[in-house]
Amino acid sequence: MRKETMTSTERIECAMNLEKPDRVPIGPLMSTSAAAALTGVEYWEIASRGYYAQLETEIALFDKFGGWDGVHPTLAPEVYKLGGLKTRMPTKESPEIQILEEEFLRYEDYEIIAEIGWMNFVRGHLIQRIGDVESNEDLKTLRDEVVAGVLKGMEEYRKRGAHILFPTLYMHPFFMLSMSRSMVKFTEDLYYRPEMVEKALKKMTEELIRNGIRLCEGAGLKTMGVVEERAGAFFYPLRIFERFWWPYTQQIVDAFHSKGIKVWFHLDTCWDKNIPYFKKLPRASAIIDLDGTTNIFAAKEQLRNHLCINSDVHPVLMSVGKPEDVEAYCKKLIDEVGNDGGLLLSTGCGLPAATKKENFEAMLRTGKTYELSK
Amino acid sequence: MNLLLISGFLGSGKTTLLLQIARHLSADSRKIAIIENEVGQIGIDGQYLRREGMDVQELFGGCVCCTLSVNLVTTLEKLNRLVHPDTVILEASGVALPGDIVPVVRQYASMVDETQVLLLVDAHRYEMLLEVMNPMMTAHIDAADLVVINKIDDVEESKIDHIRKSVQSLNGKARVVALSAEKGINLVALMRELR
Repeated sequence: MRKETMTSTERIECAMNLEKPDRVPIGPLMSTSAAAALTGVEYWEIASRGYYAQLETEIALFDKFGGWDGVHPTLAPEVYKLGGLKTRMPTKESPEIQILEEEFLRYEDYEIIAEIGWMNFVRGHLIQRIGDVESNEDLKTLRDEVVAGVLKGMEEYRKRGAHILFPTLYMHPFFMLSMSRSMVKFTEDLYYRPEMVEKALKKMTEELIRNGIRLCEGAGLKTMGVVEERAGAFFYPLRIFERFWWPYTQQIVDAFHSKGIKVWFHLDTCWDKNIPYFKKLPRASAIIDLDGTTNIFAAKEQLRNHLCINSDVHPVLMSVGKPEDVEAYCKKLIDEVGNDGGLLLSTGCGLPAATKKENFEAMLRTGKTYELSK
Repeated sequence: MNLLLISGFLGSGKTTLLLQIARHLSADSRKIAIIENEVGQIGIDGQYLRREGMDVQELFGGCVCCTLSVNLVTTLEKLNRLVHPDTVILEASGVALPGDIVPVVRQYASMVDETQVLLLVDAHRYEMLLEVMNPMMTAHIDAADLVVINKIDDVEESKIDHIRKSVQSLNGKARVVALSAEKGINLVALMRELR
């Protein structure tokens, strides 16, 4: 094992810039439910105590397992509520959070969103319909709680030498509209009323760019997170992707890139057919974070020396697999995806609550000790 | 125990159909457990079903595309240990792909003897969804053992026939039943297919 010669930040920035670091950077996508399970506490009880309690649980996990390189803000239910999503809190009987997909967004709302933007729409219309947050004053209180928690988290992780991967994960406008309208209704809108959808997407994209750049510059971070679950070829044919997702994504990346900020795309489900499009983005302008269902090896062949990839030890392997299987897969990733740099070792999507302790240890140990191929 | 996975988009009538199937199987003296992954009305009916002796497990949360399989295996283990059901009915989220779930069940849930995938399609929306969400729809149809065309009560016979032919052209092995879960039309045909 070579001696480490880089800090976590240097290592991650090296990989993101498609150079070869001293070893593969490690940054599991964390879920508080996994952090709770692995530190021996009840997630539903922690979640009932607010954002800060959930942050503390994740920090406790970080300390217990000896730390790793890349971390991100706690993705607590409070964050989803702030974004205008109806959220079911975990309970003792059902100890996971759940975003509730209902038709909160109406057809006529596209016009309103196109005029006033998403967050003004959330504040002025959506929160009343959703009912999780009763007033704008409550929304402000919630926002203050989350912002304070995120800043505290950044401070604590930086003290521990970790690198903050992104200040938040924005939902791509396409995904946000789909969740708020409900998938079937949104699909009908794409089919019957595409121009209205495009008007809203345009406004929301401009808003994301403006707010995201401000957030990154304020936090001193060089990467912004964007999540998308539904625009890939798993759900829709490429002509839908090309009209309703790709142009806005290019706009987002170009805007951030002009400010020296990379975009971290968390892409859920299988994006095999969409990956080639990402070659059109400027080199090293984005990080492609896969959830284990996209073929990461094929993605690497498409994106070699062009974009960094984060992933993808699958949740099933982490929970029902054996440590030797986890170790073998991590080595395969490091050899085949990280051999020339451009890999951040991570879980495929969030670490599941059923993660075995020994499997998580195996992933961390392998990442820290296995040499990048010569 | 056997696993019946009911898939289909939100609003296709999965919960209504699940309740019908559960009642029929239970009346046949089979011990039924239900795993609820689609957040809908089952919360209220769950209590009713529990009073009728059926076990209802809620399987929510996480990123369904990748964590459903994980949580499903542990839930099946728990049900097998504590409840010993004859049949477990899983109402999967509309975005979950049975083709991803079934292999994990087959590999890691050895207590499951047989897995059947029932896909529910809404007769009113089938053609639109097949065009706009072609990859998802064809993957769902391809993974199905049984395709149920629902909400046929106010749909013309020719349209139902068209949907049937479309499904069979995409998956020649799938059995197809047309019914109305809400109105109770043709449920007997479905129960015959499930036995």
